[in-house]
Amino acid sequence: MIPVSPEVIRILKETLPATIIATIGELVAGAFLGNMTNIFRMFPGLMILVPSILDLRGCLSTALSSRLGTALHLGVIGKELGFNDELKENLIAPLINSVMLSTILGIIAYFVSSQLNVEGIGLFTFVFISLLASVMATLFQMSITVYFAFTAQEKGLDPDNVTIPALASLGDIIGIISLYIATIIIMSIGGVFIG
Amino acid sequence: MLSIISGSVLDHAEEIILAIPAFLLAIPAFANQAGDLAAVFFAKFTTELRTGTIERALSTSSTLKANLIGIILTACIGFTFLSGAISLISIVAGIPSLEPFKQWFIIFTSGVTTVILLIIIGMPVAIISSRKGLDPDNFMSPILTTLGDVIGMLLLVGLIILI
Repeated sequence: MIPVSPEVIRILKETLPATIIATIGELVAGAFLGNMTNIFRMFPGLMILVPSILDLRGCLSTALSSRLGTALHLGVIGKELGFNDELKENLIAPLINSVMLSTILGIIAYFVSSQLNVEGIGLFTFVFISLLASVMATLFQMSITVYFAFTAQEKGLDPDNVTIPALASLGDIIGIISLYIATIIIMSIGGVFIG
Repeated sequence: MLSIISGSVLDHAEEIILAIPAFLLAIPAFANQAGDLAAVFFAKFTTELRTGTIERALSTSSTLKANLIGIILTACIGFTFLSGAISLISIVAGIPSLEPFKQWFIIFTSGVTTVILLIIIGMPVAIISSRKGLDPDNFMSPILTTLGDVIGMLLLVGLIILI
C-alpha cells in the first residue's frame, strides 16, 4: 500500500493539472511532427535535429521570458517606452545565440548522422535547415514573448508567472513548424542533394 | 549537445517510429514530461538542501519521501494520460498505432523509469554541488531536461524494439 499523506495529495493537486495541460500542448506539437513523416523519409537523418532544436528553443525562450520579466519589473521596458535600446539589447542576444548555436548543432548533427546513415543529407543542408528553422522560430517566439509580457503587465499580472508556462508548449509548436518551413524552402531550392 | 544523442537514438529507430506515427505524436510530450517532473522534484529537494542540513533533507521522515511518492504518482498518472490521449487521437485521426495496452505499457514503463532514473542520477549531483557551495538550481534544470530526453528516448525506443 503506497502511503498517501496530505503532502502527497498536495503535490498531486498542484503538479498534475499543470502536467496534463502541458501534455495537451505538447500533443499539438506532436501532431505537427506526426505530419512530417514524408519529410523525414525525404531527409534521412533530419530527426536528429528535432530534440536539439526544441531544447534550444526552450532554453533561449525561458531566458528571454525571465529577462523581460525582470526588465518590466524594473521599468526599463514597457509598452509606453516602445522599441527602446533596452528592449533591443534583450532581443539581440537570443538571436545571436540562436544563429551561433544552431550552426554548431547543424554541423554536429551532420557528423553524427554520417556515422549512422550510409546516405544522409549533406552538411550544407543540415546547417541550412538548423539555422533557418532556429532563426525563424526565435523571431516568431520573441514577438510572441514580448506581446505576452507586455499584455500580462497591462492586465496587472506578473509576467514571470505568465510567460514561461504559456510559452513552454507554444515554443515546441513554433519550433516544429519552423523546421517544416525550413525543409520546404530547401526542397524548393533543390538543397537535398547539395553537399 | 546532449540532445543530439537523443536525436541520434530517434534517427537510429527512424524506420520503426515512422511505421508507427502515433509515437511521433508522443515524442515532444514524452520527453518534456519526464524532465519537467524530475525538475519539480529537484526544485523542492534543493529548497530542503538550502533551508536545512543535507542530512535532514535526506531523512525519510522529512518531505523527501512525500516528494518522491508525489512525483512518481504524478508520473504514473501523467504517462497513462499521455498514452490514452494518443490512442484517442490515433482512432479519431486514423493514424497507425500499437494495440492500446502495448502502447500504454511502453509509454508508462519508459516514462516512469526515466523519472526515477533522473532522480537517482540527480540526487548525488545536487548534494555534491550543495556541499561544494554551488547553487544546484543554476544547472539542474537544463541537465535534467536534456538527460531526460536521452534516457527517455533510449528507453522508449528500446521498448518499442523489444515489444
